[in-house]
Amino acid sequence: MRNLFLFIFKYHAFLLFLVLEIVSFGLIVRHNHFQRASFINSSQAFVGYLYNEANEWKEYIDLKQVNDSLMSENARLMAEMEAAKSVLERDVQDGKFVFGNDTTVIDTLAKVTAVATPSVIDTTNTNDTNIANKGEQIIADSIFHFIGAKVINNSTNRANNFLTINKGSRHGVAREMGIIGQNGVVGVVKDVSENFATIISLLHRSMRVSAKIKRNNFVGSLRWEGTRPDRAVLNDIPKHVHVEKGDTILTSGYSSFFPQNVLIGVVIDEPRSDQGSNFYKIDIALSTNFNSIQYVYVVDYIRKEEKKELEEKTQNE
Amino acid sequence: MSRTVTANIIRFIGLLLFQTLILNQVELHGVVNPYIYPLFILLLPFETPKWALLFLGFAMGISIDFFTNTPGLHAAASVLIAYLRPVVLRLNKPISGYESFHQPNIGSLGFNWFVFYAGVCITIHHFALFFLESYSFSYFFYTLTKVVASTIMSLIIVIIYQYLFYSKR
Repeated sequence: MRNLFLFIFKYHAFLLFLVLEIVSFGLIVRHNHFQRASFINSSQAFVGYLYNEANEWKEYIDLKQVNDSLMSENARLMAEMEAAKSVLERDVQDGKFVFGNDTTVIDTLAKVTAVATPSVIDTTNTNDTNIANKGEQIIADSIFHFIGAKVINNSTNRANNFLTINKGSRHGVAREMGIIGQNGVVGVVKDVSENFATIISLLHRSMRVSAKIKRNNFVGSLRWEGTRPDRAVLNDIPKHVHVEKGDTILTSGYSSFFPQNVLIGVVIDEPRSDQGSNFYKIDIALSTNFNSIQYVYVVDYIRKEEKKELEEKTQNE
Repeated sequence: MSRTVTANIIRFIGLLLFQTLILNQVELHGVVNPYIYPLFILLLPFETPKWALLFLGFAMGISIDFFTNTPGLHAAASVLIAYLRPVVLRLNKPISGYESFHQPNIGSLGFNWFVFYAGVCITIHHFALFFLESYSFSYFFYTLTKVVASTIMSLIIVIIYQYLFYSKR
């Protein structure tokens, strides 16, 4: 016993070193499991508060740029809304539009999928207010809700990048919700505190996004290669598929993180094909500029739990 | 004694906030990610016991981890240099040995001494940090470029810091 104490005393520094390193490595390994919650994260109230404060003065510098980008987003949404309205109006006049048709109503309105209870619009009553009311109802009944948030911390140059936003459980943000920005996919919520949330950026090596080629709807898996913050790679597209430089890549809607048809990026180069593989590796230029990201939307998919339960049940059988 | 403790507490908080709220926000270039918080461990007095070095190293690292969403990563790297600090100090001993009035900084032991000491420690720290961060050797040369570029940048900032706070009195 005495020898044991002597041993511990003599090598206390080395033993303590080992203990602390084992603790650290334990944390690293645990954390590398995708989506595992951890106490150590920047959504912690104090850290979030500091990031928020530090962000306040930075805001003023970027104010003009932010205004411009919000303005152009508004303009784009307004154009989409007008287009959607006119299509809706025409369909209503033709008497062929039925609420509750589970397919996407209008291509440009893909984010707002109508799932209202079936009710044919009365063709005799087709004034603007009716359509506006119906529009509101579409939004209320839509299976995707959006929560606007401000990015208060962000990185793009690490092997695994994260963002912190200023909305948390109090505002309805929960784990595993998707995050999209003005120009497309940004990431997935990892940890949530009362007022803040941390986001796994698309620029994270264990992040996978189910993506499709707009031209032909072939679905592959998109991942970040770990170096350039403006590039990603689309895998699992079979070699017989025709892919061209400039093709648009959208979300497939298979995962419950993102709605269908959210922009991810464009094909930047001729697809690479390795010998002995039946699949292409396609280089994608990401549409989101992760260096200047300011405002994002948290995607709340109302039927996520239901979908997950059903899928798990099927898998277990 | 209490003055030293206060100075180190202030340095701990100062370096933590500078690292996370300012340095980490500056996007210099993809491969240049300077980390100067190890300076806290480097500047602890010579007589600091080994166990205290280790605990303080862990505390510094885990505090950074809270900000960067990387549990254990910075803790592992800074515990490593806290453990190796006495070894580097022994290797770098001046011919006449360390005197009781010496402090491990530029003002007390000179430019050459400090650059060797800080250079070795920061290289070890960055090497451990970036390879643990990439969690694999599959991007070996990219990660190595990161280590070299960031070490040079960190060392420059650390030396500027030293001249700001420890000009020869």
